[in-house]
Amino acid sequence: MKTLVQRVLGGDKRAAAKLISMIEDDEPGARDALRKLYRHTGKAHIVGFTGPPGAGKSTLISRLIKEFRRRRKTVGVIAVDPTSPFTGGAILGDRVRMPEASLDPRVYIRSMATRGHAGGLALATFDAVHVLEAFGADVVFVETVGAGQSEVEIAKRAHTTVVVEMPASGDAVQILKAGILEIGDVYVVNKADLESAGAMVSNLEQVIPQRSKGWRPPVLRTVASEGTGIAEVAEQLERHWRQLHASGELAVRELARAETELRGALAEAALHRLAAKPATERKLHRALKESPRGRLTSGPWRKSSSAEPALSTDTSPRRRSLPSRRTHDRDDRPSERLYREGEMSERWQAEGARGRSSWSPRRLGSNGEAWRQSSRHF
Amino acid sequence: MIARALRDAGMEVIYTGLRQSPEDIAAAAIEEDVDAVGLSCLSGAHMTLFPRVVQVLKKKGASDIVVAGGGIIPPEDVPKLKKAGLKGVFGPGTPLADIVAFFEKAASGRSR
Repeated sequence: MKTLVQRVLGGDKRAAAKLISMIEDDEPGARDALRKLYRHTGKAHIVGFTGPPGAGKSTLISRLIKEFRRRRKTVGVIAVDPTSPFTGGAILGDRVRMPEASLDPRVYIRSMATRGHAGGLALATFDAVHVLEAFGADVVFVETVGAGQSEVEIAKRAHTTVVVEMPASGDAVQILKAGILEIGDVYVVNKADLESAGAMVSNLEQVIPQRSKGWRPPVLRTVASEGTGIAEVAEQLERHWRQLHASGELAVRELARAETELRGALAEAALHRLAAKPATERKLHRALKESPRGRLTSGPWRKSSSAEPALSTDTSPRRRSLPSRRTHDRDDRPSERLYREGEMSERWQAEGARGRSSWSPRRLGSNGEAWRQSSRHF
Repeated sequence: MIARALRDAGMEVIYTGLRQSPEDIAAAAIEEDVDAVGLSCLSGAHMTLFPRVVQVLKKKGASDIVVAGGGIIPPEDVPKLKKAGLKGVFGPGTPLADIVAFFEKAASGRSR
């Protein structure tokens, strides 16, 4: 009887599927299996796709799957869609745009719900990427939720980031202020048969910065629904992969990637530990009862200063944090009751959820420079 | 509508789109490692298509995935479909709550 790990390494889809589910559910054995798989990973080209909903990310990926299969590559896809913050359920619909692919044994597509993780990805996304690498994928496409401007986590975790835009999705100001436009290695203006495509392309060309030495991000035009421009996108992805190797940038990004993964794991572990203490829950209940609604901070949980009042009225979102959403019975949490009563805005909730990951857009700075510098530093 | 009801019950629903072949559906079910497959057929071809999904899953060693189907299904077909391996068959007018309850049970009854 082969073990799950051996079956994944042998290219068994069902085994890979089971292992990804185990990782998603944080089941015992998942971590052990991942550890064993780890030394079989690290060879695949990880390509992240982000951009506003409806820009055509899924359709583009579906075309690229075919193109990379033509180039005799094994392709893995992780497509992330949002979990409903109210019910915990999700409708994962990216597969609709990727028909026929699952009959090919050298293509593996997996849908994934964010399960409360902010940043456009699920917590399990990159562990799942490792599984697909071990499964034998030469290239792994990761499709983010694509809710707009904050989905930049992908840039820290993929080798190549593709930003998919469409014509008429905003004027030059929108383009400038969106953090999403500073993370791409390749830009794709999809639906390029629309009238304003030319304006979008020239706007982009004016504002996108160079992300790494020796690579000027190209702006490409596609009509994914018809398959136009796809070969050129594939060509540029492969060119960027070669360039990362040639310039030594790959090592820098790999280190930054490892750091992000480690920090994420650490933050997760710390939150689990904190949230597992009954005292945390008691303090949370008390604080919510005592404070004016929606105007409390993480003050009561911080050990640091006794001089600090237990509850302040500071509403700085960065300092708010709630125990991990995952470890509690959904109905039992006071926060959940507040959502139900409509007292808390969705934004508040998003801030709370953001507290779970190590990722903070603030740290990046408005131009992404901080991250670039810190990754060079390594 | 059913997908939405299941989501509202806290499930992750993978929607594969219309007019999928039984082979496509089984392959997607395996890649996604689902607990259950819900089929919908309004064309009258359910007697061939539904059992075929069960067969393909079995052939691929995934007979633990629960298969259910609904649509315009005459009452006399129900026992035949159940005999063919469908765990649930929902004809016209089945209350949504019944369908949700079925899938909840299917998901909790399956072990890895």
